[in-house]
Amino acid sequence: MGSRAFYEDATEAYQLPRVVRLAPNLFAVCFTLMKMIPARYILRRALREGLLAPGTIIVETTSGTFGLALAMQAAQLDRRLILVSDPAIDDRLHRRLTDLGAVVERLAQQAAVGGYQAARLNRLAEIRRELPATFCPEQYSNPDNPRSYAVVAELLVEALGQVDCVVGPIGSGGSTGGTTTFLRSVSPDCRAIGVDTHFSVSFGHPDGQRGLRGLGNSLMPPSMDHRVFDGVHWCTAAEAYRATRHLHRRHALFMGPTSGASYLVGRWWAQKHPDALTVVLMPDEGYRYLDTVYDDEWLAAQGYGATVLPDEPLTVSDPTRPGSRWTAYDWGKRSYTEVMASARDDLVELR
Amino acid sequence: MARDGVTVLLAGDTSTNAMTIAHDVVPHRFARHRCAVQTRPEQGNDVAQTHGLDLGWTKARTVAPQLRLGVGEAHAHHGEVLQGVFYRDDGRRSRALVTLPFPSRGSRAVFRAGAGESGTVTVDGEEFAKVRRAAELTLRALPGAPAGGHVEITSDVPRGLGLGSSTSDVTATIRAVADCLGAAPTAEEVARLAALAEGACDPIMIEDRVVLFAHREGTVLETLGPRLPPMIVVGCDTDPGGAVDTLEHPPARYNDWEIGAFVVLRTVLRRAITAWDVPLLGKVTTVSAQINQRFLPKPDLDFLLAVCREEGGCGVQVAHSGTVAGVIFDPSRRGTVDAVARCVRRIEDHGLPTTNVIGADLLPKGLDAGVS
Repeated sequence: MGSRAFYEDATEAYQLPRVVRLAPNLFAVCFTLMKMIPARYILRRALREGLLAPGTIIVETTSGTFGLALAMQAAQLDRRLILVSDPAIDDRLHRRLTDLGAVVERLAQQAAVGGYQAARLNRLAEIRRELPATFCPEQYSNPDNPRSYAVVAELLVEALGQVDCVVGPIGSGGSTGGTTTFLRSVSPDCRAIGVDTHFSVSFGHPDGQRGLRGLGNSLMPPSMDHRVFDGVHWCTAAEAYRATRHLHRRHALFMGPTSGASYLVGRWWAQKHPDALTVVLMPDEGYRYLDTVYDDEWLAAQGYGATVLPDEPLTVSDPTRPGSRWTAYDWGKRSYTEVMASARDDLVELR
Repeated sequence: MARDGVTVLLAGDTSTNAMTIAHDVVPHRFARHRCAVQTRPEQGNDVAQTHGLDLGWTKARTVAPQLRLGVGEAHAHHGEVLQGVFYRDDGRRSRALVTLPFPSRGSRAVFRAGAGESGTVTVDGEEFAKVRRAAELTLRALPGAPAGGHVEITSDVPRGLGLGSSTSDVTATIRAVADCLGAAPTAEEVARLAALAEGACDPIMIEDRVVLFAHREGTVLETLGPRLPPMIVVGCDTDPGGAVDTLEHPPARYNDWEIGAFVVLRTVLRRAITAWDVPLLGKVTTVSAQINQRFLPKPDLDFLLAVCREEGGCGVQVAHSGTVAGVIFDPSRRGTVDAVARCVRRIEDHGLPTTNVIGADLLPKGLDAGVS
């Protein structure tokens, strides 16, 4: 694309990140709202293919920024939007969503299996049955989610040339997986490192209570391609928050806690591989977390006050056991099934 | 001035069949075709208007019609650097490509104004249909153009290998007709006419820059840079004896991942051209060639990739609607002379005829031993 004087609309303006150097070989890829990329790609495609006629209602389950991206799109496209969320959705986001015209349904009850994520999916199915015409972007199973990240790979190639390693937080796996896959079309050796949190099922942990919001899954995202990933790291909430503040204090980058977790991992990786150009995907900004991550009293009250950031992760050989500190596992571009099978074999050998 | 409705007649020497040189890669053998163009005023419509062409470049000379003569030339290409589907500025997508010029081969057209010469016969060969149509379209786009005339094509571009033989004929013809009438069309105007005449054309007429070219529309999507970096391409025919009919060949149906990859490849190519980075450019051509394997596979692509890897080449490029392919070398790299010579030998030992070594003049003397 040539140089541009203005953006056609706010959603276009919001989608592309700033690339900021943090160290000679380390770059932050700072998004205002990263989820705008898949939201915009999926809705524009739906429009093109006639799946989003004027009376069609967009429905989705989300408690995070994907909902915000959809609400911005829906406002612009003049479509109604229903979001099914859990109580974790914060008031600021809720106010913004409803101001954009979205109907937000907050669920109070968790499902017996799969927690709020499963309950939300059940409720979503109910809503769709009741309405005549709906369109659901299905960010967790839609292959267009990872595919939408070609524009990020394009930007990175344009700004940096060769990228050797992509580090990013894992929700649906779309951003890190998609960006790396496109970068690998010209740089097949580009590495992908996923950043997850303990008690998230994405890379083998059992589901459980997670302190760190916006990261981790109770259900396995169907579209996730584990074979993209060279390595996976699990961070605690305390470490992620501490790293988020460090990123702000040291580099003046005001980002959310998933960005902080990725920064922790990316910084370590870049130091360990000084000849490799490393980028860290940072999905959102810090405003939503001013009363939490950016509030020392809140941190202290949660017991996160005295956290000291470790210099490096603890390398683990069993990806199925959650820990209580930053851990790392050599995933080796294997499928989930392969990794789980080898983990079981290792257990047998130990016995 | 009757400009509409042109019938084309073939005149003179028809004994040299264009197809006889189809796989002759020995230089200095030229095919010669002639055809005559004659208007039939009662037919047709104004093409320039129909297709929204505004060819304001006409300045017809006042010369006795029988004396008018124009000459046009156009070079060949050696397949593509990159081909796929790309986004336009308006968000829509177009099939587009970046051509690898092959300047040592080409076509030359001579256009003689005036129609109805003695001994004319009707043309029925597909080969000349595009040339005829190109001449017609150019005449119709030019106010004050004569009723018709002869086109004589001389070409040393082998047919059916994906070397752009047809576009070089057509471009030379458009240039010859324009020259005859004292008109100076821009490269973009020639491109639009060539695309109309052929249905799709290669951007060989745009010689002063590297373009991402929508070959069906005949328009430029983006100027990627002033020129390709200096590089050496060892060209070969991957299917000696076979040929691809460009018109018969179905268009590639790229999947969503490939279309995403084209976004990245375009940017990488822009960077490679700006930085004169041949290794980076070679990565782009290789990925493009690999994507093309789903549509018009080159049976020996793996062999060429292995030769490229083992001899220190930068990548492999192919004709996406033809059978030629090339191994790309960086002339600034030490040992390239020997590597190119070994590459030529290995390709020939494998049974593939080499088409040429493009950019051999970039190398110091001493390559002759390797390239027969």
